[in-house]
Amino acid sequence: MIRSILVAMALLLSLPCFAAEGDSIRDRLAKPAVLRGKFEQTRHLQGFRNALSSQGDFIVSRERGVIWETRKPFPSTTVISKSRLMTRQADGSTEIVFDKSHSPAAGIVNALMLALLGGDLDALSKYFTLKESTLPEGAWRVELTPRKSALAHVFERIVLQGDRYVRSVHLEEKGGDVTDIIFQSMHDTPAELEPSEARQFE
Amino acid sequence: MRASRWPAWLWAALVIALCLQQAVFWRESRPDTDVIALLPGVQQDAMLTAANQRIVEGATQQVVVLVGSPDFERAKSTAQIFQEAIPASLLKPVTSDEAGDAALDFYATYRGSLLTSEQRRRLSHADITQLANAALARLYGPGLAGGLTEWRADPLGLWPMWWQARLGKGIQSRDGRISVSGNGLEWVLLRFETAASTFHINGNSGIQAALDNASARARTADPNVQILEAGVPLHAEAAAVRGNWEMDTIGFGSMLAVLILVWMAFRSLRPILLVALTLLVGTVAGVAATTMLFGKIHVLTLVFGASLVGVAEDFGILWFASRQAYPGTDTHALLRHLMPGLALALVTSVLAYLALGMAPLPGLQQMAVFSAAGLLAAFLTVVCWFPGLDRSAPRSSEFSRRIADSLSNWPRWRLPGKSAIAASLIAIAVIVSGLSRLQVHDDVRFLLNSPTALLQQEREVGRLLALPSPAQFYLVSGASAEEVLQREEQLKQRLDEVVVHGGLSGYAAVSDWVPSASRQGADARLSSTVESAVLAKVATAMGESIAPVSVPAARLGLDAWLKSPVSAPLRKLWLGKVDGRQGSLVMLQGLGARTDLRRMQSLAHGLPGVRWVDRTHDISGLLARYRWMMTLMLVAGYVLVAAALAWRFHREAWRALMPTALAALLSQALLGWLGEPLQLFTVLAHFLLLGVGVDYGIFLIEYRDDPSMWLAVTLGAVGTVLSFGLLALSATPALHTFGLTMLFGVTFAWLLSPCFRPAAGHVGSTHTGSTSQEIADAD
Repeated sequence: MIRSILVAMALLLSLPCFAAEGDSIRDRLAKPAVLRGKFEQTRHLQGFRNALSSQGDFIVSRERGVIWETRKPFPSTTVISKSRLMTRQADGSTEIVFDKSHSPAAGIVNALMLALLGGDLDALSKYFTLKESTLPEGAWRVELTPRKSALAHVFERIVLQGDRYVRSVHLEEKGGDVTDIIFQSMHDTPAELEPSEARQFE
Repeated sequence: MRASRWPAWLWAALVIALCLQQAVFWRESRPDTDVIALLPGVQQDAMLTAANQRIVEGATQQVVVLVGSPDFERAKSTAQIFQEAIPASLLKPVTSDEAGDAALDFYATYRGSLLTSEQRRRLSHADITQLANAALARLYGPGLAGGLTEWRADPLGLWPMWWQARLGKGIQSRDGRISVSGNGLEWVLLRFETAASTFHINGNSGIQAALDNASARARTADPNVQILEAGVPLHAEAAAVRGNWEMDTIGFGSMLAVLILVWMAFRSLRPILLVALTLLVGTVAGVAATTMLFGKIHVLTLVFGASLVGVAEDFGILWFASRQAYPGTDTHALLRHLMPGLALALVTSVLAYLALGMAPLPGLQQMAVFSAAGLLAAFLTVVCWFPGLDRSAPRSSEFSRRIADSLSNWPRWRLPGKSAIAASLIAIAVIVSGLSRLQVHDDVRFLLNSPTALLQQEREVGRLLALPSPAQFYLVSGASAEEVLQREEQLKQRLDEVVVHGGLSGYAAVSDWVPSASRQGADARLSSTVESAVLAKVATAMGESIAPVSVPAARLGLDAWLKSPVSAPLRKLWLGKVDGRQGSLVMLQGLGARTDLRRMQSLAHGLPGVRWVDRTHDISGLLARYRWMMTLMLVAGYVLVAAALAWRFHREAWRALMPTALAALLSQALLGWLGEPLQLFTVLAHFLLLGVGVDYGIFLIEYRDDPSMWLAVTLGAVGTVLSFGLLALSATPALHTFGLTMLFGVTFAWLLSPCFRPAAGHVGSTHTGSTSQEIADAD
């Protein structure tokens, strides 16, 4: 669950970009209202000989949340909205993993997401220690290590890389699981959600 | 005749002895302020008593504060400021980590055997394919593997869901604090325990003041913070503060009123001093007798005793009224003349009070002993000391003469007369209609009366924290701990249905955290079967071979749980061994006005060892039973008093009792008209009315047509009305009704007693209007 937030964060990076003079990463990032693109995720999990690869599309709406559409190898849709986190499988069955009214932890998820939406690296720094480094040609790299024990239980560290948008996420978990996500073909038009997309958030 | 000196000296010696005893007693003790001791002990069985005790124990020392703010971090820091502003000597903060990481680790060892009922249902009716798909989606989706363990160990994400279900909806542990969301705010919970080892009220609002001070500090840090406070100590303090105020007002108010009356009638300081002396000696004797008999005295007995003033002063007033009427008579002769009346008045009042003491409520027994001893002491003071102390010539006053003379003009009730019949009919009509409107009200909530603000906060806190209701619960017992846990589970199955239909929001039971061994075994088997099937399916789908990881599935034993700090919040639900059996409580959350209590009661049918307990209903039932018993004793009291009167007055005894009986009926009817319900304290008031009212009849018959008697009766009645009438000002509904009953009853008794006085010259064995000479001659 928390991993997905981080992914969302990464995507929504709509983080303030850095100042033109290579001052901060915040100014380098674009802040679109709606961001669409493709992803490719690779996970190395304990006990699995092979890596788990999946591909699909995503939509990030600064206002409503994230729609993560896995197409290969097992189709499913995950919707992260302000109040809950839901997975829909190919056979139509849905599973609500976290609902804010039952688990306020989901509130943290959303709070983090909103911080990202607001382009608030400072909010992120409440939960993580940030090690920012700028790279040539407008690129940057941020390494996050969790501050609070609750997150430290789960995550070892996270590395984000990108320029105008976040291009990759590298997530290391305490248990030894590693997830790598690469984003491609990102565009921020149309700047509005289609009605079919908006409906998914309900 | 001077031979009667020795009673005075003897009494003096006794009084000094009592004073000494009191001096010694009060050096070491204070009035008992334990409110719980006043509640009737529900002596039904050991298990139920243990349950009641456990609940009361838990509740009476805890104070809970919720600090709320839209932002959690803000709430947390403000809560810290609040907590630091409270002196630990008054309120000790209670920290417990039962929702923290250490707790999670404790249960993790057993997690294979732990399932929620929801999970059990899902797994039992599981479609493995569907579950496998869900697991796959999670594996390949944007990283939703649950996070608490590696995926293989918990492919279905059962563990985090179990943990969240235990914490409760909306409650979570964050940064070392327990927090809950509600009303659009994030609340941080602070828990305190009162530092006093037993539950005492002392009239200071120490706890409330400390909380207010801390609130002020918190508000300077964050002006928009919301603070909610709840806890039994707050209610008790509010009641004590008000009780103290009332004791001061009623006690001093009535004493002052009596003294002013005496002044207006007798225009001299001496009557005031001597009457005050009788009251003082009476109080000392009352306290001494109570402390000697019970070893302690309760604050409420003192409050009640404060109104004893109105009764005990009758003796002194009778003396002075007679002295004013017969100024020339020798005091000892006068005493002998008055003795029959005084003695009979004492006997009837003491009989009435002792009938009160027959009630098995400890508070009432103390009051009965206090009052009887106090009256006796006041009587003895008048009898032993007044003749010696009050030798100077009494002053007369216009006020006294006017009142005394009004006796002759007072209407008499003579049956053949038209006015008498008319009056009787009206009286009967009023009585019947008033009594028919009377409602009975035995609700125990009538005994307490907390300020609305406190009650509102209590309700809000209870709602936010989903606190279980302490008034209704299930008592589960069995031969062994395992049997109790199994029976709890059977009950919970039925409760689940009620929860689904909205009658309840939840329940709390030990078996939530420690399922019975048989349940744990079944759950372990179920989850391992389903999990391995899912793993196999996923492995096939992925073309992987997934090495299974063993899930720790030790059986959680009750003893281990009880010993561990994680069981702190729910430990009190486990009663343990009582009377050779094991018992526990199942508490209910979200019991509201809509809940059908009868349905809850019926859920226990057919389940051996499970019992529905409704404490409010039980205590109210107890009060109703006492009310009924005391009404019978009241009738017995009337019979006893009638017997005593018949012994003295023979055929005219009814004249002494009739005014009181009529007054009782009329005042009750009036209360019926006013909508005041009939309850235990009303019956108590009738006891006092009997003791006081019959005195007036006695004086008027014993000394017929003696105007000074009428003066004594009037002064006495007005004094009593003033002292009990003030009780009607009490905010406690019970005392208020008590005061009103006395107010109306005594007024009617006063007004009606001369109506029934015998005609002059009637045949009887008592005195007619005597002259001073006759009294002296009778010597």
